[in-house]
Amino acid sequence: MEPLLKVEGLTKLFPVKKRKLIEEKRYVHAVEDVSFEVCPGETLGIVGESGSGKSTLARTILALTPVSAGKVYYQGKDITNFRVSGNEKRHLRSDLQMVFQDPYASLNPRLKIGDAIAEPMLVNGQAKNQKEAREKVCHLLETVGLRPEVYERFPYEFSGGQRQRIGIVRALAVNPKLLFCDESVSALDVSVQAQILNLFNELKEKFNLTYVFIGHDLAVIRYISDRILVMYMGKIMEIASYDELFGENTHPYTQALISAVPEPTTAPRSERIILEGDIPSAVNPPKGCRFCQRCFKAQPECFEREPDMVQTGENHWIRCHFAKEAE
Amino acid sequence: MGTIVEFKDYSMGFQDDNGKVYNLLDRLSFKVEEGKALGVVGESGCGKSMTSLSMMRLLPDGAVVQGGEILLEGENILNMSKEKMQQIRGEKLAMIFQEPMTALNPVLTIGQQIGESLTLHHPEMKKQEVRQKVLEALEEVGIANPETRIDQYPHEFSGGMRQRVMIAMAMINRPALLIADEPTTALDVTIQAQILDIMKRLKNASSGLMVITHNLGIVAEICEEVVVMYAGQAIERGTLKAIFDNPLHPYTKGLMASVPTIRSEKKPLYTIPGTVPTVYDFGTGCRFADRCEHCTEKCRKEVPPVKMAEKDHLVQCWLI
Repeated sequence: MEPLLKVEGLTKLFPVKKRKLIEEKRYVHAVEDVSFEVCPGETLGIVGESGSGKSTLARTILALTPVSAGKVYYQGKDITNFRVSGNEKRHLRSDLQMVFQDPYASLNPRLKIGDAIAEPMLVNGQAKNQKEAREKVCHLLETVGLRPEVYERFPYEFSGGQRQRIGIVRALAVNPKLLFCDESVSALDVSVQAQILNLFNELKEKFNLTYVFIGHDLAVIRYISDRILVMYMGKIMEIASYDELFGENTHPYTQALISAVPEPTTAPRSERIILEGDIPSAVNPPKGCRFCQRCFKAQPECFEREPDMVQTGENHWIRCHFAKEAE
Repeated sequence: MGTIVEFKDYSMGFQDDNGKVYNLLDRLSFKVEEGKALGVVGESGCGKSMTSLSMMRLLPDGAVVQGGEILLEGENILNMSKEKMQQIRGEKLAMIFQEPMTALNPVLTIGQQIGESLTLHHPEMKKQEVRQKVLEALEEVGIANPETRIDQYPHEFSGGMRQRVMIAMAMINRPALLIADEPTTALDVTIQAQILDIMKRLKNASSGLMVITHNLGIVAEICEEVVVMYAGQAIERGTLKAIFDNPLHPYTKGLMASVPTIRSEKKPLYTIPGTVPTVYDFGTGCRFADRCEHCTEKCRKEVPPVKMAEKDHLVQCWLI
């Protein structure tokens, strides 16, 4: 199947402000040499600690911040930095949408939520006039479990869960194909989080959506995703299907992340892998493996030479010197 | 083993401009025992934070105590003078907050801030001695190079490190009870694991611990006793084993079923319909009635009694 989205060697460097007159120019290596594909209809999860470059990755793909190097293809076409004709750009902007962590911050407090949702419809030509837009908005509101009467209300009148539903409706308003969800359920309460996760799965079926789901909660990412991409300091450490990622042969960083999740059970738990310290600064990444400073399996080799991605299964890639290669 | 803090039928609420009082915490009763950790679980708006602030007597404006007692080592906190309370805060009861950056003063060094809580309660202590104690406290929470770190400012610390500083500050007077209000919510899982590790170690240092969280995993990790709160009521409480292995209240059951774990199947998650009601929308009966799938007429009309399901396991529900 042709991938819907293909990313090749994507790199994003942020220059560090010089402090002295004569100083070597330095960069924050936010995203470095990231390549992956997203197939139509699948959900790709991206996990990593804060500062690992998950959000920057999404923002560079959506051309919200310019790419430093690498290419982004959408339906086989080069869309790096959205350098395409005006008409196509409009198509792209409606095909690729984003759902944020806190939609309250992105909703105009003085605009009725119905009008806020209708606006992109009118701009992008999904609705010809106000009346048609209103009908479509009401229909969408019902799909996500809100009453159509809420059209007239203002953002402050809603609870966190309802606001997230509105954020989703707004993304859906322009008939997107690929939805980037950046920490979309992290700020929600447990019972509401379950409602929104179920909603995401229902909508996926209904509107034939493809998701890129960014998050830090491994249990949530595992639940929603088909394949998972693990990032650390701007690089991909592992790509695997959700069940393989929680299996035996995985990257030490993945193992540490999984073992750090406290489980709600009284069953005796296995010995936890505790990573020392914080994620180091991405200004001067280590010469060897990105993870070498915190890795519990690190050998002298790891500090010297950066490992390549090793294929260990049909859909399983690990960036580690000690990964067992597929036969 | 002694009881450190005991809530006895404690109720509080909020007063509106017209003087009408809306009840939030409804006849709350539970104990924190010495050397044990109590987990208070619930979603936002369930009154978890009001419980801890009641204990510290730091309730916001408009909050009124409606009855009951909060006993600290046998003495009622609610009757204590302002001066006495100031003595108790930091000395007997210490608190760790969710966002360590907002809780630290950005223009004072870490050493000055931790030292302050020491000198306030021990004015006779010499400067050198204070510094020594602060260094020990920093070491205890796993901060590397305490000699250099002690003279640094909060902005030079990462989120996890700041939370360690907060713990060091709270623990320096060896409080009888440490209250941790969502101590790891703002942190990454790996950092959370480090902090939980420290808290587990501190728990063994004989003082009591009260962890307020919405994360059931954290409770399972460090607590022995659990109180599940819903809309200001302690709807279920008991030992960790009793609550987690045999949850009885429909809310507790729902809460446990709706969290995806790293082992759960890929079928739709169980959901509790609706959201937590606000203080103005509580009904006359069970406060969970509107969201409960087993709700009966009686549930809507009358507040359910607290029943003892088994030894060390109390539930407030008509169905049990």
